[in-house]
Amino acid sequence: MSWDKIVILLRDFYPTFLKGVAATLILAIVGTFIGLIIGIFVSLARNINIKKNDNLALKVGKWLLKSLSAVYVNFFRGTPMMVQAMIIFFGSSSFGIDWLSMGKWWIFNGYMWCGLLVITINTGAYMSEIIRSGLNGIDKGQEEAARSLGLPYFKTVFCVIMPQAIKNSIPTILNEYIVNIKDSSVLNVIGLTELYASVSIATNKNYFKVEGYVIIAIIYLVLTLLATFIVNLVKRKLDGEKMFVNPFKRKVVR
Amino acid sequence: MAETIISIQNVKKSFDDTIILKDISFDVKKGDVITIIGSSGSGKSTLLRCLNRLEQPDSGKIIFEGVNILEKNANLNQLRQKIGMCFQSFNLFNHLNVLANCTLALRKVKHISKEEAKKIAIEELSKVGMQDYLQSRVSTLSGGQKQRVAIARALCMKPDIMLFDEPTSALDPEMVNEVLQVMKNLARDGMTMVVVTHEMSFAKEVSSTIIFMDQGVILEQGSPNEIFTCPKMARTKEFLSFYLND
Repeated sequence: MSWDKIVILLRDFYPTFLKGVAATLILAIVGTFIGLIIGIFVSLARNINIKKNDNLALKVGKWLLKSLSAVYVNFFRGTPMMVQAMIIFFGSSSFGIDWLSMGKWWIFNGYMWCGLLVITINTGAYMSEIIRSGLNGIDKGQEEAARSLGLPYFKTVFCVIMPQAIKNSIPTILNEYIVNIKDSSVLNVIGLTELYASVSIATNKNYFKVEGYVIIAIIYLVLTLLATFIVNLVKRKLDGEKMFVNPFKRKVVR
Repeated sequence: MAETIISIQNVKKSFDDTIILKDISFDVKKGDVITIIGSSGSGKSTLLRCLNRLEQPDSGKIIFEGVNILEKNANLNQLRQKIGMCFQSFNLFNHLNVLANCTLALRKVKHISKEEAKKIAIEELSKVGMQDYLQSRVSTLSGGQKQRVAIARALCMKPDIMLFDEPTSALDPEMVNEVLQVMKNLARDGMTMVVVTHEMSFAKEVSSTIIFMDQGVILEQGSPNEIFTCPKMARTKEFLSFYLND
């Protein structure tokens, strides 16, 4: 490994690396955000109560929703995202979806659309478990208070219980974003050029392999450390402390 | 005769094999302050929670303003607006400030405009002496302040009856009085109330009727005078002796 090779790579291929960073960030941000929305609804489906005095149709409907969401969560949490990506990319053709004939714009192409779909539904499964444990941590009294004021069930969920569950889960949700920055690298198996795959483009002629991977390792590190920094700020804010603390003036509790 | 607000008829409730309520009946008339006393496990709280169907009784009728709230097609959300409830553990919405706690149901259930809702909330918060804490976070309030906000939150819906489920049991002794004072003011202003409590002096002073419950039945009911000075049942005497001796 040599310093010169790193400089050469950065000088000649910085647009390639920047495109890779953009793709990775888009995958992580979109995946985390839409995954969160999926997770919110799937967690509700998994928490459905089947009541004794529901009629048969309602019971069957609730059971179906509950079981389907359980299957979804267990499948996507229990298999590697790399395998899921391959199944979805190559399996979609039997449903008449041809990713490669889809519209192209900037770094968006068929591989990217497919990658976004994979990371989104994969994250959705993890998010639903995060939100579910957040929901279970909310005191039953909150629901009772809301219902006793006359709030219907769904308004109780979306105005009272879910906001608190999400707020309590924010550090875990942001953690999922950090995981996504790193794990989006496996999506290169379907041909998606994100940060990891940009190294092969930059080094396929010059074979500066080590230097290339060192560069992206540092980039990944910067991206995740930045996210960790934000997580800590938010955590502090949620605990009601000041967001910015001068480390040299921090109070020491003895 | 004042009109009957809520009429409880032959209400029974059991959890699995344990019978909690065995055939409870009584009427609450407009302006009544009914205090339910009794030892833990006697079914007081369960009974109170049946009155707005937070618990579903197994059988019987609860007629609120002419509607049986236990019927399957009863419009619970509409009925519950008229039945205010305060809990032992306050149950304020932790993610909202004091004002938003009070306006949430006005905005989302009654669809009242923001300004109008704020006006109502301030009015009710003044009644409980919490009008200076509109923007305060719930977590910064003391127990007594929380319970007073919870009372104001319920009052914002302009209920016809207020249910109190041991409102002072989770409070430090020095905060009990501020909450009891608010409740006394409410009673004085003619609010119909059903209160489950262990505060005997409050029961004695404010109630129009006291109900003594033991093991899921109403053992005795009557005016404070009847219950406190000449209880008929030995069990009532025994229960009251724990409170009146100290």
